[in-house]
This record gives sequence, structure tokens and C-alpha cells, in this order.
Amino acid sequence: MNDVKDICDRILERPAPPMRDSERVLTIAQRSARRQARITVTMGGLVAAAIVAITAAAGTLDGAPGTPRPAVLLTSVASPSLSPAPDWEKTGPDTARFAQLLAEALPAGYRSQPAFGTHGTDTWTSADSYASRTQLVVSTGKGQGMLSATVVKDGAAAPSGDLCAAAVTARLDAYNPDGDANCQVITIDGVPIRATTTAKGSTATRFLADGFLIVDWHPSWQVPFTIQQLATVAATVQIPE
Amino acid sequence: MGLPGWGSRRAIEGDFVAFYRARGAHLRNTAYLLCGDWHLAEDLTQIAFTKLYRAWRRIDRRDTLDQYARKVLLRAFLDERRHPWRREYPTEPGSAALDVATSDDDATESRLHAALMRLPRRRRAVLVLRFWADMSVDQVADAMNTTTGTVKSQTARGLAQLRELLNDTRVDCDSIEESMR
Repeated sequence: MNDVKDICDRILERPAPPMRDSERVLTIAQRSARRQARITVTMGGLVAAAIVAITAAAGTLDGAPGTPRPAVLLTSVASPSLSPAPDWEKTGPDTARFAQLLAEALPAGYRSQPAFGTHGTDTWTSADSYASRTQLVVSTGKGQGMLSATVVKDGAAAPSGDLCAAAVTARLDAYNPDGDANCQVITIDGVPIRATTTAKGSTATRFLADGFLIVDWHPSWQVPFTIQQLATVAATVQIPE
Repeated sequence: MGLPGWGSRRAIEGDFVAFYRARGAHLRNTAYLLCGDWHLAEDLTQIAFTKLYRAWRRIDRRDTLDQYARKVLLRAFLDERRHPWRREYPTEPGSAALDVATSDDDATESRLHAALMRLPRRRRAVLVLRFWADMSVDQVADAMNTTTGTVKSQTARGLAQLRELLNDTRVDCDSIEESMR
């Protein structure tokens, strides 16, 4: 046994070439991850229409054609590092890019397809503010649900106190009234997230320097997605520049 | 730092770079012992770390990173060997950075290297992982997606074949290239 180790050690005694530096390795890995995510998003766009159609058919089979779709309005937000909201009121929203970033922030085992082609994206703009929602159909082996992420730029600074305070609720109510929600603050990697739950679903709100990000989850078919996981998505998703 | 797998992007990148700096050289040496070519070893190491980066959030325990990385490396090696274009040259030669100086003491190492390279690649992988990388039979079986019984039998056959090869004076450097095709 030791002979083999000795053989290997002796083979390795010869000088080895210099290693690739860590920054280079990281850059290549990141590029690969981005390429994979782009492929996922592209393929997901094709699949999304089919999934939405299936979802609609399932609603009909439930005998409840009038069943409201998962709320597409803003729900709740969570802001980690006080990134500024992107200047989408000037450039227009890059929802495809944001869908990709959102997909990258999902926990392991969760697949996603952008809900493009139906009500996947919506944007409301004014002269100096906007609210832009991006939706993903998120699925596991057990079911699926709708994850919505809404970036709101309202020009207001992030609250400094309790994120469940009445003043914060009032600010968010303009976009996402959730009066009877249970509210708690979850901190992910130092990023405080306002997390609320209602009978309709869960919401995590992350405040940005001049707005906030609302991530909400509406389970369709019993997909487990805890409020902690939702808060983590809100805290870790990269805000586009 | 929060729970492993749930760190921020910046924290993940920091951890990733730290892990590469700590274990990259060892992993590349493992790759070299498997494939016998520094160019390909560099490629395999990059493949392993790229896949590791993609899976970083899914790896729950930091103490399993090494095992995961070696598993990815091994499978990349075995996959690479299935690619027809890899049967000729693992990597386009010509990179001066990967040239290795030789010395008069290389004769013995070359002979040892030639013997190791003449083992069938899965058998060679078992020996390298078991006795150089200090992996258990269970870990090797898991990495190779095979049974512990197969690992044990491959180990015994590999050791016997290696002894035989080392006693074979015909083993030389030229045999490396042949065995890799």
C-alpha cells in the first residue's frame, strides 16, 4: 500500500508547472455558471407557456374556473445590502436578466422557468419611480408554485428601525396590502428581511437604498418553500445594476 | 457566515477562492496521477472547480467539499477519456507555462510513471484514490459509482499488475502514450 503512495510521491517530485491562479479559476467558473443559467432561462421560456397552460387546465379540472390566480401584486420585500434600485425608470426593466438572477438564488432542488408569455412581467413607471415584477414558475419533484419578485423604486430611504413597524407597513401597503399578515424580521447574512405570511402565501421584503424588493410565494401544488428560504432568496438575489 | 450553502454571493466567492488555494494543488496532483499529463490535469482541475462552484449552494457540509471535488474530478477524468478527441491530445500543446524541466533523476520517476499509466484507467484511479488520496473503500466506491466489492477487487488486481509492470524492464515512457489511447 505504501509502495503505491511512494510511487505517486516520487512521480510528483518532478517540478510541476505553475498553477492557474484562483481569480482565473473563479472567473471561468462564474462564466460557466452564467452560461448555464442563460441556457436554463432560454429553455425555460419555451417550457413556461406549456406549464402555464397545464396550470390553467388544472384549475379547470378543480372545478373552480374562477379561482384567482396567485396574486401578481407586490407582496413583500427584503433588502440585504442596501443596493440601489436599478434605473429602470430610464432604461426600462431588464426582466430577463433579473429572472436569471432570481433563478440563481433559488435553493437547491428547485427548478424554475420564467413565466414569460403570459403575465410573467409587468412594470409600472412614472417620472422617477417604478414597480417591476418578474415571475418564475418554480417546481420541485412534488409540485410547483409561482415566485414573484418585484423591484420598487420609490425614492424613499430604507427604514432604520423595526421592519414590522406600522410606518413600514404603511409604505408597503401602497404596493402590497397585507393587513392581516404575521410579520417577523429574519436576518440572512446580516441582511434584515421583513417576512410576512398570510393565507395566500409568504412574502419577503428587502429594502434597497431607494426602494425595496418584494419576493412572494404562492404555492400551487404543495411545494414546500419556507419563509426562511424565501427570505434567503430575497437576501441573496443580486440586484441588477 | 450563515449556514453553509446559503451565504451571499461575495461570501461564496471568498470561500471558493480559499478552497481552491487550499486544495487546488492537491487536486491537480491527483488529476496528474490519474491522467499523466499536466495539460489535461489543469483542465480536469478547472472542470472540477467549475462544477464545484455551480454546486456550492447545494453542498450542505464544508467537510464534504474535498470528497465532492475529488468525485467530480474523477468523473470528469473518466468522461474525458470517453471523448474521442481526447484520445489524441488532452490539450493543445504549446503552452510554455506548462512545460516541465527535466533532470537526470527523471529516469526512475519516468519508469514509475510509465508503470502507473499502463494500468487500466479505472484500476489506476482506484489505486491513486485509495493509497495516495487516502480515500476509504466506501468513498472510492461512491466516487466511482460502483460497489465496495469492485473497489476491493480492482485494488488487488491493480496492485498485482503494478508489481508486475515495475518488474517489466520494457516499461518506458513511450508506453504512456500508447496506454492513454
